[in-house]
Amino acid sequence: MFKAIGYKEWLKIRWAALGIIIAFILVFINTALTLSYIVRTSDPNLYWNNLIFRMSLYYSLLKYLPLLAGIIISFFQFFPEISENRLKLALHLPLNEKSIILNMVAFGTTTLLAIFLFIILLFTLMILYFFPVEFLYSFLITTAPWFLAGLTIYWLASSIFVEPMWLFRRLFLILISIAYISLLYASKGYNNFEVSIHWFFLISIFLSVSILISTARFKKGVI
Amino acid sequence: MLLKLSRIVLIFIVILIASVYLPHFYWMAASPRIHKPNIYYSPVIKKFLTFKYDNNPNVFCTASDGKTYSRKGSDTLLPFLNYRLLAAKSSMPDSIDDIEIILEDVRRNNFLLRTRPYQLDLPQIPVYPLFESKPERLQLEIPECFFRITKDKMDFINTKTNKQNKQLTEIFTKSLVKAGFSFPSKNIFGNPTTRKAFDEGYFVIDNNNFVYHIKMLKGKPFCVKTGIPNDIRIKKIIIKENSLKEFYGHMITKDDRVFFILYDQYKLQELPNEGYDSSRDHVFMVGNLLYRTISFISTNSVTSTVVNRQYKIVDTLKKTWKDKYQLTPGIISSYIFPFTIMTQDRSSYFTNIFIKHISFKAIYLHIFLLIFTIIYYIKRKKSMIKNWLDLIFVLLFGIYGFISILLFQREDIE
Repeated sequence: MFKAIGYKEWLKIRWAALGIIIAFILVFINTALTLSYIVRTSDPNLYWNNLIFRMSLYYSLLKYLPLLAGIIISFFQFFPEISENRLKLALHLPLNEKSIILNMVAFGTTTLLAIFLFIILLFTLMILYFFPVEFLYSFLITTAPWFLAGLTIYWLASSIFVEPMWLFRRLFLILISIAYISLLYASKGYNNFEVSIHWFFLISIFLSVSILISTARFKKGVI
Repeated sequence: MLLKLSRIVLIFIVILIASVYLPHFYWMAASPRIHKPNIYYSPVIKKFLTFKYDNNPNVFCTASDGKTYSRKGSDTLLPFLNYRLLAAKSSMPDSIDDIEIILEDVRRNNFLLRTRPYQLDLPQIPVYPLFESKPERLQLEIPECFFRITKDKMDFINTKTNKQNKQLTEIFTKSLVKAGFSFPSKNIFGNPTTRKAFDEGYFVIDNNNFVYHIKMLKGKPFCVKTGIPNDIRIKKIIIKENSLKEFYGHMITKDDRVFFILYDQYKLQELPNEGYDSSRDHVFMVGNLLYRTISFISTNSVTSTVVNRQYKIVDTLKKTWKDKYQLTPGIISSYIFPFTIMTQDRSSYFTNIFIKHISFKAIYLHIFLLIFTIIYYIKRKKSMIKNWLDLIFVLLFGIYGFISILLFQREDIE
């Protein structure tokens, strides 16, 4: 049964996932070309100096892409379910409704994680080619909240989609999401979340269960 | 059970978000402008001058004996600070305290150093450029190789190839080992900018907490163990090359002491640190031909101490004023918000979860909201016993708890 759910989820999001991967790869190519252009045509020592002491980010194109990825995956996964209340069918399968919905979320989460890890790996190889390992550490710490924002918005957007009560509840969930996600983007320069990323990670993990409440309300049919 | 737990988790998250944004918007709407005084020591009348915005155009500053001065009148009281203006108007005094005033001396001895508390806690990619200290063409240039200090060497990396520069790595590592350096380094402090007259390289704390001075002289290493004792717990060394060549910079320790590191055999000159809290205060140092003033500025007070050139204390002044939390909007906020969560703080450049401004005065609002909730629950015929946790949330978190229990009600999950 779970295999079947997985297959159904895959059918829904495969094109979206492919589009996201292509977007990430384009950003990667752009960044790599920019770096190699600078090394070939100008003085990389001045560039290093800018990166280290003026805190300019050569990978800033990545900033909002994970967020977009989270929203897109969530949209393709849950929008078809709530239009014409198809989710009701899924919830009437001979399985515990919580494990059905958690499986759906787990599938989306895994897909997102796989895409993110793939792109982090690509950037890692590129950074190690151009810079010493200290830059890689800084890249990982600096982009961690952005990728975390991507996962968090996926969880939050899913519960927003499933939430049955449009005006008050959904609007409110959207507000909370914006408020929390903007905390993750409130950074200047690099390594900003070095001392606190684990706290935000913990909060985001907890947020991932918010879909359970929306599902419970959906099943109850509060409208 | 899982549902119950997830509701509680969500309530906590709403409390967190509310305690960040509600006070934030409150202060956006209610923040008053606060005029902080600037304090300088007048070497002419030997008194502190307080410069504070005032509606009276005739009062530009007030001396510590209460006498007031206009803007024009105050210029001559600070001849060293205003030497350009006074020299242009030919009203620079010929001598002060029997010391002849030579403009070049005045210029050379003047300095202003400001250290903000977050500068003591900055993120850093630990890779640094080592300048040639005696460049042939006199101008400092960013070198092609940057260095880092690893477990067993001072590693130079060519920025063009991202490969190690073996020659530099070898001679610098050898020189460091010869000076007694114990790898790896615990901290590296320097002033890597080309906008200065000359370069003094880096002060590096080694694994045994000793401080080494490293620079490059005509391509050769200069590595010296400074005599700075290794039991001083250094928070930050701020290097600032100054043509006076009296001190390399100042050093702030973890127990909030302030020192100059002198050119004279790296001796430490302790500065007065009365009232200093390094996580809160700006350090503002003004030096001139005759005196040095060190001020610690918090959000609601400033403590200034003047020393002469032998570092003997001449005079001290403390001024306080009300910050926004002590003015009416702040008092009102203390009755509304039990605490405020901030992700930024003046003590650090890093994002973190800072719990600030805890106020027990908000308990009145908590009790009011609690009664309101109970009445509301009675009207909606909700059981108090089943909803006891909601009441606890309101009592403990006040307005934040109240908002979150309204949004995530218990019936939703039943």
